[in-house]
Amino acid sequence: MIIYDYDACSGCQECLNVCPRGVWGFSKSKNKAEILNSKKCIDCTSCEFQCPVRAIRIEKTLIPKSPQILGQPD
Amino acid sequence: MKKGWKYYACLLGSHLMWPVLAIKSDQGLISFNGADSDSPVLVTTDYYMTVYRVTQAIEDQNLRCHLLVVDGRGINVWCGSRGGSVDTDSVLAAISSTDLEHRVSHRNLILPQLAASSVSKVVLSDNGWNAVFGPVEIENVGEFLENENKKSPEQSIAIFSIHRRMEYNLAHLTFETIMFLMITPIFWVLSFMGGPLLSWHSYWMTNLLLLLIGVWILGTFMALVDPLMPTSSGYVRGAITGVLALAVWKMVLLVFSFFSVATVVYEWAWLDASGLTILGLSLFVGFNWGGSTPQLGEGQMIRDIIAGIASLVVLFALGFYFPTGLF
Ligand code: SF4
Ligand code: SF4
Repeated sequence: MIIYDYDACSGCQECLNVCPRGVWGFSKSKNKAEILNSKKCIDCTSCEFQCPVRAIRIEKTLIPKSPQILGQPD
Repeated sequence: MKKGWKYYACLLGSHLMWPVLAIKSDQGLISFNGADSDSPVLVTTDYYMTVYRVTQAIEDQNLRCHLLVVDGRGINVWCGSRGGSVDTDSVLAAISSTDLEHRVSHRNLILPQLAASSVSKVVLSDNGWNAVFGPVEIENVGEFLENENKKSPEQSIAIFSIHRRMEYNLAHLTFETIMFLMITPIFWVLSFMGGPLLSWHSYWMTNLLLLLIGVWILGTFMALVDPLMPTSSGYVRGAITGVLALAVWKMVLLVFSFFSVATVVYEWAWLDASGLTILGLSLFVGFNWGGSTPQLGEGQMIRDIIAGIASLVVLFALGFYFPTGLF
């Protein structure tokens, strides 16, 4: 499961750069990463490990869960 | 690079048998096409097949660059990074042992993208090295260098091409063949314990060749149709393939019986020894196949293991005694 702190994201796009499954997208207008396809995530933790502001956490769960996004304005 | 015995040993999956059998390349710095101190430095791990592929791609694209081969305990970048065989320290150790800072005038490294779960750009930067992650497929590295170390979104995504799938398949099926050759005498010895185990006595020995043919057919089918499968679960892939194979097998038996009513009823009513064997083999192959694809997450793998063990327990409780049928 992806836990993403939208507020903390600095827009560096490193998560897009390292994700081998195309899970992440990017909103130019908001300068924030966005989760495009969480079902494709294989918990490889590359995005979590490389995010410079620690805005991503990957939690390995037995039952698949939808991502948790913190601080995203409605 | 010539395709010597090491290449074929990797192709046949020697690393799957036992990690110590993983075939390594020499570590160090290799320079290509007259690379000088300004040339870029690519990084990879010391699994022989990885170094072979990277070298081949560099030569094919005629790139003027250096290749830093770091200690990854002979494991490929993807598995090594996820399994902890390669990390930032391995890269720093290779930089120091090759005296890289005196051999190049810049401080830039191009890391393999699939090492991103264990090699930290931040720590490398703290040590004076600017690292970027290159494309997943080494074939795109020439374009990446031309575009000033930028890649397209597609170049970040791991693709499981038919060529790669057939290669993985060969390694896995060789491994599974050796496993079958090893477990057959074990089951044969166990059969001397008597009771329901007695039914194993001749089963494994007499059917070994058929079992192996079955494994190769099922594995190759799974590798071919991989992109068409609705899920990444190895268990579900095995189950789908098994049910299809079972239907084909029963149809073949029906044709051979000239569609006699009794046979039709009999063939479809019983999950007999051959039927159970096909399903069991398919689950076993699917399980192994799932584990080797780059689409399988750890959570899914654990769910598959639980489902596999639960199925065996339920079948056993119902009296289905794999692989020899109802007892
Ligand atoms: S790596 Fe972190 S900071 Fe950079 S875009 Fe992704 S979430 Fe935002
Ligand atoms: S854990 Fe891996 S697959 Fe999942 S989003 Fe992050 S980089 Fe992509």
